[in-house]
Amino acid sequence: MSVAAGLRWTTLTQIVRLATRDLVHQRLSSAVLVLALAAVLTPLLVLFGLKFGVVDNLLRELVQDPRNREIRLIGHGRFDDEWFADMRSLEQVAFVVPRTRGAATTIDLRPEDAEQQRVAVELIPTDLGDPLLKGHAIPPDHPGSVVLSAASARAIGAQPGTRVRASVRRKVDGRWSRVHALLNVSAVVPDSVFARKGAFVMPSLLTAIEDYRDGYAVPEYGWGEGEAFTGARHYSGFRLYVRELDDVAAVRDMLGAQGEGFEVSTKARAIEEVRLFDRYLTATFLMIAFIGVAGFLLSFGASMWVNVERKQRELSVLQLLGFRSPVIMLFPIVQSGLIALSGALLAIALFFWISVVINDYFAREAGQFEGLCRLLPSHLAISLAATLVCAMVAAALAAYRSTRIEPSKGLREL
Amino acid sequence: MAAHWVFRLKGVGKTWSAPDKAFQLWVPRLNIRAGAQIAVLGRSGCGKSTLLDILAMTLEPDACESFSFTPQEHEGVDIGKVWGKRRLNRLSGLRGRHIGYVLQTGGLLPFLSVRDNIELPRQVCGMPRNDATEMLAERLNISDQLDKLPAALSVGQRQRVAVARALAHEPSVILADEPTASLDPHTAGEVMELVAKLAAQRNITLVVASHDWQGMTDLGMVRLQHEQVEGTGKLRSVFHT
Repeated sequence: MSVAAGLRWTTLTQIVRLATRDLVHQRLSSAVLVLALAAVLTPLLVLFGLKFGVVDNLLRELVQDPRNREIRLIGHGRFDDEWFADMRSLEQVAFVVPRTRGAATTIDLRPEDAEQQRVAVELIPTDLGDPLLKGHAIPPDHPGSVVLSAASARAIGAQPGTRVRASVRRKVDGRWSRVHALLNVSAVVPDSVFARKGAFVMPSLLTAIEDYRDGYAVPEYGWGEGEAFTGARHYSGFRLYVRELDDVAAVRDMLGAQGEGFEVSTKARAIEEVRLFDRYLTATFLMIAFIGVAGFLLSFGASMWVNVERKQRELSVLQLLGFRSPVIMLFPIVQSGLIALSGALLAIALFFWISVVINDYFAREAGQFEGLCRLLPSHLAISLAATLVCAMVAAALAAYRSTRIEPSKGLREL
Repeated sequence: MAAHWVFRLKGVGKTWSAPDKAFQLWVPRLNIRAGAQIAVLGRSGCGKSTLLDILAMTLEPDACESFSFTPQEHEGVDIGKVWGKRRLNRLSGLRGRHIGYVLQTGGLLPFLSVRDNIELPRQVCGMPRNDATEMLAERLNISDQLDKLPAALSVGQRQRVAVARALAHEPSVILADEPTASLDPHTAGEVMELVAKLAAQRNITLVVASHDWQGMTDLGMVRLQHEQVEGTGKLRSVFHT
């Protein structure tokens, strides 16, 4: 029987060739099976693509937008350097920087070399690691540097590299006076980061302005006369971001318990709502998908089973000619596998086409979403593998049954 | 030299039960010598096909005292035992190598060309390609049809292809179940004569089931004894030598 072992491989290629020849011969019914498979699989892929894309977009927005991780102080407080050091040492706090007094700490800006109307902009204290600037600009690393919001840059006609003249006014003893500082625009951040006219500067510039307005001299900038501010500095507020969404509530509660209790505002409620929505959406999608997938696998498995039944006579002829049962089983398995492969690939191609249409539509209608309908390569690989396995298992079961039948029955039944 | 018996059956039977009456094919004793040409004659429904299926090892008998198949002089196989052990692949192997079966309706694979249909049994046995296909096609007058699909052929041509396929792998036995039933009398005679001649030339044992009494005896084939015995609730169809 040494010949038999040598035959193995050629027998396998033979049966694969026969199975393929039969598929081609019956190209109409093969095409119908492929189309039927694609017709059921494509909507499922689109459904999954939408679910994945929508939830992914929501979560990305939720996690990525640093404003969701901000804790804002309502009103004023009194915070010293020690408080800020304590806050920075907290695990949950990603970023904290002091704010000076006056909700609108404004400054007047105009380009250095142009005579034009001064523009009042809001000063925002920033520092290295500012989550708001992350991905858009490197925060200023010295007091003479400024990052402008797009609105400010438009108003004064500035761009990165422009030097701007900042001026501050004060009224001491009934007399108005004005001092200047030259600032270098290091970057301009888009409206999505800060929608109003704003300028991100180092806290030291803000404290200098605060001192000057309070009537002190600021030797570092050469502003005013008289004595400079000495003593312990207190800040009236802060910009604070926590590390994770889950940290918002904890840090909020901690601040509320401090001293007389600071009142803060967070987006915790909105976050909770989005999360709840995500959970419901996921659950709904899972239910629909479960029904869809179960129906798909059943109907596809059934049609593969029927296909084997239809092939009973051919399988019996192969048995009569001396093909062994395990080899014959390959005949319908290979056929089902090829049909599943073609159908799944067709479905994936259709999915790509439909997802491009969907994503184009939403990109035009609602700009902030990108890739609303999309799947990862691993998702596609899983759907392809599941289809193949299901098809081949169904065919194998049916084929096993049909090769158990004595060949004479299969030959004479029709 | 002792006679070489290809088939030796003793007490082999197969019962088909119907609601009103059971039908049993019964073979008390059947010995077929190598190279013999046997005609299994009888009306349709008398169990001819069943007998051929049992000989072809495509149907399991439900009674089997002894059933040996000896394709070549030295290697006898106890078929009853192989069935008993459900070693169907062993049966497939024996069938594929040693038996050529001509079915009543051809049984060609519709998706293969005539040539591929004829060559398939050789491929199953791992036999090399040779000019056997062309030679058989010429003898059977189907040379022009080799590259067509079976569906493009007439019934008679298809039946010739089936004969060619049964001969292609040089089997030691050819079983033919009403091979000419769907042919007109003239073609039927022609095909049958060819089968008998080709078998005789190659010393192939030939067993043909047919209802054509005259044709078979004209060809000088040995007729298998057949009688029907009416029993209680049971019709017994007995074949024996």
